[in-house]
Amino acid sequence: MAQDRKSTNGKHDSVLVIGGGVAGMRAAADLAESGLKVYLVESAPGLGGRVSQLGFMFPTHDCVLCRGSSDHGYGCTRPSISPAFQDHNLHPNIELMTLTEVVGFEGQLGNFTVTLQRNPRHVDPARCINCRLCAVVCPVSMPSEFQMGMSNRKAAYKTSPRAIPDAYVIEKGPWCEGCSKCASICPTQAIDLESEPETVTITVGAAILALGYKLFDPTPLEEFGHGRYPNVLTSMQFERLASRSGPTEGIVARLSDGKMPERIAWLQCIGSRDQEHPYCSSVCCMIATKQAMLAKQRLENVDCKVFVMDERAFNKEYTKYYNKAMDTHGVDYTRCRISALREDPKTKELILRYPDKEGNTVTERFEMVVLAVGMQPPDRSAGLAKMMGIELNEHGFCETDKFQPLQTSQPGVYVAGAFQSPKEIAETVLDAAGAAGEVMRVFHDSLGERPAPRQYPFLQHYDTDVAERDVSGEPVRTGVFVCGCGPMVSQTLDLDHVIDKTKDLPGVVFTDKIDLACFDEGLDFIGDIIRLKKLNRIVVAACSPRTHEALFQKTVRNAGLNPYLFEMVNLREHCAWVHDMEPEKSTAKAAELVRMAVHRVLRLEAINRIAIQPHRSALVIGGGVAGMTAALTIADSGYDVTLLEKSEVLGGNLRHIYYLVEGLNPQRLLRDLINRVRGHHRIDVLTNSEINGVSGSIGRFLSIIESPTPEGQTETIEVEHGVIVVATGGREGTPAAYRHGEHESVVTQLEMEDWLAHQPEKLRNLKNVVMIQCVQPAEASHFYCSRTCCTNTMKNAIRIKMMNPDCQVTVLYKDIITYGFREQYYTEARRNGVVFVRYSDEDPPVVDIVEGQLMVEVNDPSLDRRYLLTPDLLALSMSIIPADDTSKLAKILKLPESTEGFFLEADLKMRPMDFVNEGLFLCGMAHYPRFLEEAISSAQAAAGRALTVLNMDPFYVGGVIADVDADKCVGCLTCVRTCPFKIPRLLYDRAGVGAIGGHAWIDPALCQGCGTCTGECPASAIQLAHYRDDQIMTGALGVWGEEADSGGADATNR
Amino acid sequence: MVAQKTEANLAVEVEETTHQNVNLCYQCLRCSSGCPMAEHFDLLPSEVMLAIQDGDESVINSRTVWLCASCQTCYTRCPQKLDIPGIIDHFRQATIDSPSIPATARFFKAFIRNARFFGRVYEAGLMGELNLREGKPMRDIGMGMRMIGKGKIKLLPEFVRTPKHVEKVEPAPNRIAYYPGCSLHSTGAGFDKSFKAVCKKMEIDLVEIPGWTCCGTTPAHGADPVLALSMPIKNLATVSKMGLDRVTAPCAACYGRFKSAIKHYRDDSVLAERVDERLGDDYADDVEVLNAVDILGQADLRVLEDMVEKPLKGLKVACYYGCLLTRPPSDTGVDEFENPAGMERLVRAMGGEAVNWSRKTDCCGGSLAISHTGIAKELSTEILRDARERGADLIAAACPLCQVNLDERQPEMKQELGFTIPVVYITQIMAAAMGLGKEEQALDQPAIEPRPLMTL
Repeated sequence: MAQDRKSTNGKHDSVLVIGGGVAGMRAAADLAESGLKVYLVESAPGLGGRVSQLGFMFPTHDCVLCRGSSDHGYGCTRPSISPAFQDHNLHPNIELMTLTEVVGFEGQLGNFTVTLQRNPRHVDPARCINCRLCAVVCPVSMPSEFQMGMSNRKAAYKTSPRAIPDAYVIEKGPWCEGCSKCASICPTQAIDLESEPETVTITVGAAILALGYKLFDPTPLEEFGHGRYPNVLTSMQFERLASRSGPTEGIVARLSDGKMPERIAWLQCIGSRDQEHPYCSSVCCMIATKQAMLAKQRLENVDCKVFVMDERAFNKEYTKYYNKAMDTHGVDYTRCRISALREDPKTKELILRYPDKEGNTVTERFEMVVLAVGMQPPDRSAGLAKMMGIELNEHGFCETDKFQPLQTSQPGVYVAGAFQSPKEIAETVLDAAGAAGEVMRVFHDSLGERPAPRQYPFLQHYDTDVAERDVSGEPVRTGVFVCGCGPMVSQTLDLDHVIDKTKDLPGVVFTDKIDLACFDEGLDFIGDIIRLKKLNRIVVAACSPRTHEALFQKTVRNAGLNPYLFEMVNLREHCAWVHDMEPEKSTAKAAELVRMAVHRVLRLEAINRIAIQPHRSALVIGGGVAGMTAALTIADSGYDVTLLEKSEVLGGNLRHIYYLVEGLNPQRLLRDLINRVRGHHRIDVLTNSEINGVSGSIGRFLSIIESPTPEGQTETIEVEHGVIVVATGGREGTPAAYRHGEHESVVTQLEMEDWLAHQPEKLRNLKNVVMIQCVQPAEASHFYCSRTCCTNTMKNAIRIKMMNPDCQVTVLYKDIITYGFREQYYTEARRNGVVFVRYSDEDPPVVDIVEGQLMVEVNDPSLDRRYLLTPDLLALSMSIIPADDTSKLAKILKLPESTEGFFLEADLKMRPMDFVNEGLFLCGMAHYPRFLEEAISSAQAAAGRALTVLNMDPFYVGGVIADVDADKCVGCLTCVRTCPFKIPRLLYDRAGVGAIGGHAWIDPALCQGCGTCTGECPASAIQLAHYRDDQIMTGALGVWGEEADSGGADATNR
Repeated sequence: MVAQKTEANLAVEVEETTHQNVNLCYQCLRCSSGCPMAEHFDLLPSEVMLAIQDGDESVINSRTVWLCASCQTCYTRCPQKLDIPGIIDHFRQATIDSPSIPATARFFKAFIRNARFFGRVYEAGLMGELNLREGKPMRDIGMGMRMIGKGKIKLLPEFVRTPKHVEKVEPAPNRIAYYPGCSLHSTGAGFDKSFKAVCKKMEIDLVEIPGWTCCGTTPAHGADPVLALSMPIKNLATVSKMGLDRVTAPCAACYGRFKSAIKHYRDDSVLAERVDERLGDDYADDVEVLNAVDILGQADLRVLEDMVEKPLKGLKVACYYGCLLTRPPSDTGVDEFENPAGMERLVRAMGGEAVNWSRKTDCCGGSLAISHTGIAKELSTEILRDARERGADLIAAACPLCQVNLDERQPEMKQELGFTIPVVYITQIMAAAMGLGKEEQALDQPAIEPRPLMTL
């Protein structure tokens, strides 16, 4: 375990992360990878927070925890959340403290003294084997918080099926009868009921608040009957219901009678967008859309109706998702905030009343109603904030500066996620990576002092330095260790029989039973035997590889063997537990499984990753706010940066923004950034420059840049760098509708802002201003929400009213998207008399010019009223499009694009700042339109991620990757077409089979090891390391494989 | 219809009277979703708000303005806390003196004339005048005769004027001023008798306000903003002069008016001045107003249980609050306004079973009972039906207007309903359970016979 220590300039350089949800885990992982020591403190018994309760995320419907927040987190076969958080193999730089709370906090940046209260778990996680017996015998039952009260748990329980730490917890409370049945029955004596809370003091240099949020409890809103009517659920309850680990294992059934509902309604804005909570909780619209689609997929013929005010789908791919819900799945959206619910006492249906589009009152019955509840500041956050000297805003969330969105009012304390303001997972992950980046910047001289190189897919304990033995010439010597898992396996299976069947198998030189292989004694035993018996293949027959493979691989490696010479067999879940009624057959199966593993390891080979020393510098493409912020974060952390800007000047869009909706002037930020960038000794600014080509891969890129010389010529420069940050931004789309260009009074919002800033006297004569939202520009082939325009319109509308209160301002809109705390500006605009008229896509506004006068005709669909407006000024809110040349750059960098044309990141939710192509990072509007503070935090996130690469010494690539046998490749391009990550390339200057020109090549630095190409290749020219055809055939086919194996290279020889 | 956005700034006019910024409305449609009158309006409440924002003056002459039941549901639920009934009142006040007005307006005017002339509403006179004016002399004659027969409508009026000099009363912890209201002296006589009897048993000393006059109820606030405050406050001023600091008004409508008047008096100093001018005196604003359920609920439930001599033996009671006992919460100040439980606690203390139902605060259409009887009956039918479906044996009410609507009109609704269900006052239930005299129980008063159920 890494020690805390003071860095050379006297600062303590460890970091306290408070909160173990997705933000806390993400920040901790990044910090740990960069070589900083992290204390990750969580008050619950397990990590994961809110996100662990979600079965599916919008818009991808991926399961949350497996979509790692770091590299290699794809799919269930890979480690959970991040390689940093594997079971029994936590990153050595992270000290995890669950059931812990912060009770004292003093000091300042570089020297905070923190008092922690560690509440007892009563179960030693190192000794818990998850046998569940304590829960079985515990007599105390109570509602499960994880299942939102819809089912019960015992006082001895596990927070969720795959908790980190992977252990049970005993909640001793006033209900605990002191029967001690749990302690008596525990087979490993892991339970100590007498342990008391402990106070611990630590010293850290910085802290990150990742406190999350609390869900609004709708019970006091008695008109909705939550808590009285059994079929009224909150959105989180529906999540649990629809989740495979929920109370009904994913069957969406009514709580009143177990019937599957045929009509479900979602009521939006419960506890949001009203006078008590005047902000928008940002995520509920998308959650309802997701849940409605899930319901459609799970239940046949279900009617799903969502009652909204505005549908806020404002992020990448969300408009498409929303359209899909309506068009493909038939989810119905009705604009009405439902007044109250009535219950039919016999059927327990809920009765709703609302006006339909024609204004007629309709009464409908629903079998289930889901209340989309809002976000509130988390429990105990007020007290914690006070203790830490953190200022909160009027709603109880963390107060931050617009230009420093991750910095709290206490220097050295940062904030990430919903506690800063209600937001979704992708934004939370950006915040967390950004906060980590900020900390890295402050502690840059400590970076890399605690290296934990990722030479293997798990983490090497860095204070052992055992050399790896080269076993390639040796005859196979296999050791088989059979673990009884206490009584869990040994009671059902006849392990002696298994060993008996195994000891004479080819290659096997050692077999033995172990009682508890995962305990220190067991691991030490395995290590000793490896060394003693000079084993070079290991099979451990125990429990699930998902939980323990990494642990045993680490043990094997520490004993000097390559970890890929190891195979694990599951005797617990796959044999003893699932076939507990048939012990004989189960034992036979166990013996078979072990035999298959023994044959597989005969064929296994050592796999090593390739070490590269990255160039310790970055290339940032784009000199706007995002590019400059990223460049500064990386440069301040001690690495060189080349900043490329296509135009003559730095600043991008910010040059044309003069005031923000909060009333601030961003020009001073712009000047400050440009000064710091131009003056920074590590930043090389190349303006009027463009990138024309890139070669290489992560850590070793070579870019060809065209840059002007002082004499006015153009020259080609070659720059070597380790990472690339793409920050090319976006711009206001070109208007091609509503008579723009035909009348001088039809302007875009940016044009109007220019007037308002530089020619305010023009405003004096305005009597009537109309603004049209959601205007699709010439460049966009379809409509998507540009996220910022509604708030921007509020900004300008409020400004006009401020300067000229008598001017009539009318906004024509489809949905108002002022999410988060920006909702207050919508309220302010209305309060100042701005009038809002809704229009529909089917009947958009029509602009005419009659005798020089602008005439705008619009139909409000809710009332079927037509309005005729005669504005003096018509302002169009254009969609924001990607910067020109985005497609060209995407081709050069080999990056994919989203349906909206912006760069497409590695994962929409968990890795919004990474690309699948390793070493490239994304921030700012190049990702998607966003606000200034969001651009800043995303840039800090991209920089933080880039720093985790630059800090590595060395950086490892490769490992379990696919490799093309050129002698078999016909260049059919199947792999190129089927690879989900677009990695295989055809090398035309090489020769394939029969010396034809060109064969496929898979970059080892990029391959994700998914195996798709391997399976698809018609010529079987591709093999996936560790999953070669022969390795799979012997493993999977058992007996038949044995025959195919005779004559194999590594024949048995004891 | 193409509406030109007008220069007429209707929103400004509305704001000047009501202090409501109509532009805050963001068309969430919650008001329209919960409005019990929505099917009968031409403009939904949300459409009224939009029309004002647009400066569309046709809103002034909409049917909606005079059909609103003032049930306060929209105001209670509006996320922006807009006083929509108050805004409707503005339009009523603005048009009540126009040459051509609808039935409800005529009712309001007649009511106010009657109340101000007599001091307390003379029902027989009022109904007589209205029926003659509308050309329907036989309207409600059956119900009227029945009520006269039971003494619920007096043939002769009372003439009352607010006394200039009021005798001081010695304050005491259990002493409280008593404002019966016009209904409790006539159609709600049962409430008056049983309430007084129960209070006596509970040793609450009620001191009826000398010379109390009509609070004005819905007609006053629909006709004139100053009258809306002066009529109730006049009585509060008398209480103040009596030297008492609390008054109880069992009638929910009167209670609601008192609460609303106090709130507006406090919030709007300009209006307060005009009210003081009208009253000829500055109101001291030192009187607290409670309703019947409040008063009775203040007692320790165990003490109440001890007073029970004839427990209700599990009689299933649906407690009906109506609109004005709890809404709007900004005026009444109550916490439990969607699902109140005050009456339920009393019923349980009396040995009865309180039925769980979702219409306990639904509007019965009380304020429209005279001008739009059909609509009132529609709304009342839903309430009665739901109570019966929930298994209620009878309904307990705490508002005389609601009780009359649900009970006296039930014979007319019998065919539609298919059953009858007695509707009595909560205090009548308590009087019966406490074993008080027949006179005090007043169970002969309701139209639907409750006595077989209540013989305990």
